[in-house]
Amino acid sequence: MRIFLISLALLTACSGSSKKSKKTDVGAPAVVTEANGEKQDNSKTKEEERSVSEGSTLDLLLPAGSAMRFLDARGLQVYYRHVFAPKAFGYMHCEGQKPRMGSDCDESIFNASERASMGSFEMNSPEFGIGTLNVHQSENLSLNYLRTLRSALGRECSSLVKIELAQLAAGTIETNVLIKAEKPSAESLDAFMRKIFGLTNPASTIEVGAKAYTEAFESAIKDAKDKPQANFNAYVGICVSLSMDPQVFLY
Amino acid sequence: MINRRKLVQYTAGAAASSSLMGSVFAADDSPVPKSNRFLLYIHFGSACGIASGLVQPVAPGKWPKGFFQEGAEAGSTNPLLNSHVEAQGLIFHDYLKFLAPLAKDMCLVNGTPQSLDHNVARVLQKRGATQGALAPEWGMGLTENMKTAERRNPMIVTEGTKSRSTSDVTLVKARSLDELKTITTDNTTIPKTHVDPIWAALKNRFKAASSTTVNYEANLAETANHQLDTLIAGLAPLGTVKAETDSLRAALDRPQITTLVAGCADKVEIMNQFDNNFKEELILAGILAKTGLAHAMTIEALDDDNHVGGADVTTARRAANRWAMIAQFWQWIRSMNLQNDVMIVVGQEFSRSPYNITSENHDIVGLDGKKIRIISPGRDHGVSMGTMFIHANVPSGGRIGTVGGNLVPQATKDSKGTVDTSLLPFTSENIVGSMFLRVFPELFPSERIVRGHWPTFKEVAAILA
Repeated sequence: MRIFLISLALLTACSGSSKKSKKTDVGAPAVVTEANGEKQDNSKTKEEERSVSEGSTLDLLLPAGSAMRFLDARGLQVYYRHVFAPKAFGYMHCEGQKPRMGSDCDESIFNASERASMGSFEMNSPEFGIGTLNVHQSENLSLNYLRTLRSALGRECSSLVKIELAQLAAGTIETNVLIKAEKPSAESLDAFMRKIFGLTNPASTIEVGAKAYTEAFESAIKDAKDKPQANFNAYVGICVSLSMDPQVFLY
Repeated sequence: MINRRKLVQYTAGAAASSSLMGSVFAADDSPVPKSNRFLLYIHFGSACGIASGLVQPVAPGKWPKGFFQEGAEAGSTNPLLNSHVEAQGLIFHDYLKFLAPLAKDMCLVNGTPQSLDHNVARVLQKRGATQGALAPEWGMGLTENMKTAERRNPMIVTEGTKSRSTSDVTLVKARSLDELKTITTDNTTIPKTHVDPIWAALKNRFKAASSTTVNYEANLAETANHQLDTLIAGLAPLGTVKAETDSLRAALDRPQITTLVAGCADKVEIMNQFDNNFKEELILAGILAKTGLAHAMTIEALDDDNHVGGADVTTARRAANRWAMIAQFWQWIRSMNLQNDVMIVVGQEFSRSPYNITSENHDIVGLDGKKIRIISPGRDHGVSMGTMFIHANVPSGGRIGTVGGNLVPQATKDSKGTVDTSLLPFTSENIVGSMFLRVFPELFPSERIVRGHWPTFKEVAAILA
């Protein structure tokens, strides 16, 4: 035991003169002091990339603010009903389908099995087993959530763009929510986003990166051989992207 | 930062040799993935450990006192559970005797479940903590440590949610290869052409996301970008493994499982428990391990909770069928030369109590091939649990921790089941964390790294020996 303690003391003493020492402030760039006294920014070393950094201590204090959560299918539908209207058969997931009951089709842009992946499910239903999203304290972005969100938005946006492009061609854009011209403007994209959120007060503003999207639209259709198809695709992309903006589904 | 394992190792041989300073203190203990490691965690719920093979006797044909009737020397009312095959330190009853050839790659660790409540014990045995937010599933921790500069969001297939230490991993819920293909690819209503600049603008939106009242995940932008890239491009390696998929599917087909359990007396009823969903999940796990597309998967395989009777028969049959598939799966893993990269962990919430006063009648085929009717009493929640590890480098045929009289767990000082009463019964985070240190040393180079995920971790010496 005595030998061990002596060894420990020696080893600890030697550690002070070992080849390198590391600043261990969590979150700050590690600074390595080499034997020659030169300081070196260690911010790109492997340990900085790790979630467990060298010398880190347990942080038992929760940061201020709420944990990030994701809107479930029901919450999202509150927004999406502002821009996606059900057809006579309901939302697009019911196109050509025979639902068990009418509400399956006009209740949500998500079909019954998708609602589970989006955190909405009926207790004691088969979907309960996979519908874990909003019953946990912490929340994560899973591929299932993101993929399902995009799938449903892809259906509705394809339909919306098809209808609104036809109305644009016919010169009847009064009811259009997204397409006001052949190419989107920052104003039209801002208006679409305000529509999603149901904002009617002009004093309320929301930032959606509209300018970046208008530039992206130009870039997407540039050099396209099939202009109508390119326009359609780009508008669907804009519709999906704005509808799945992190401001929409994160809270 | 002192690496205690190395410190103890070196001080034992050369107490104060300054020549060792470099190797003790300059070692970088960050995980450095070298190959595609994979953890398959299979959860046996609260199924009876005796019937499912996660609680075993110390000698063939001799159950400790109180395993069946509290305080009494007795065996199971099902004679097939009293008939054993011994393989190294492991002892399998008649329903599981086909596992004997695998014993060299197996190690059974018994310990305390720390709770008799399903919802608490389940989290403890799958994550080593009482709440999901406090610690990750075993596979999530391993997957996070597989992160590299090129693979910044390694994937795990699970229905669980992440904890703070595993914010980089990509979660996918899938129960088959087809489901995985679907979930990792956008559906056909998402355009493929003339949209790339728009997706790029969308990705930038996640980089800019912030809130004054909500703490966004630190890696939200990176995670979202990775997932969008995956959905847009799909997982190309899935299209290159048809031969491997076919061979694994063939290994898990009914005829092969039937052949494997042919030596079991109750073989017909074992095959009646064939679970096609479990088969598809194993196929998915195998292909993920082979391709390196994901680094862990969690499967729920048994959910028995037989308070009113039947565990000694029905659980044994169901577990036998699952184990037969696991055995075939492991042979396929070996045929792919992945036995050093893949570890299977079969765990449970808790084992069960001695018999209670309720019972069910069941017909079985006995050792003599004749049908017999037995009374199978119920069991309540019990104070022990077992975890079986399968990997080429586990303590071969090991028995670490044991379950003594009246199904009480005890610690052992070695892998031969030698009880050490000075130690507390082992707990899940110490059991699994120690096995990680042993079999995946480049991912878990020090106990400090294990604690990064499971803060209460302490080594189990018998596992590391």
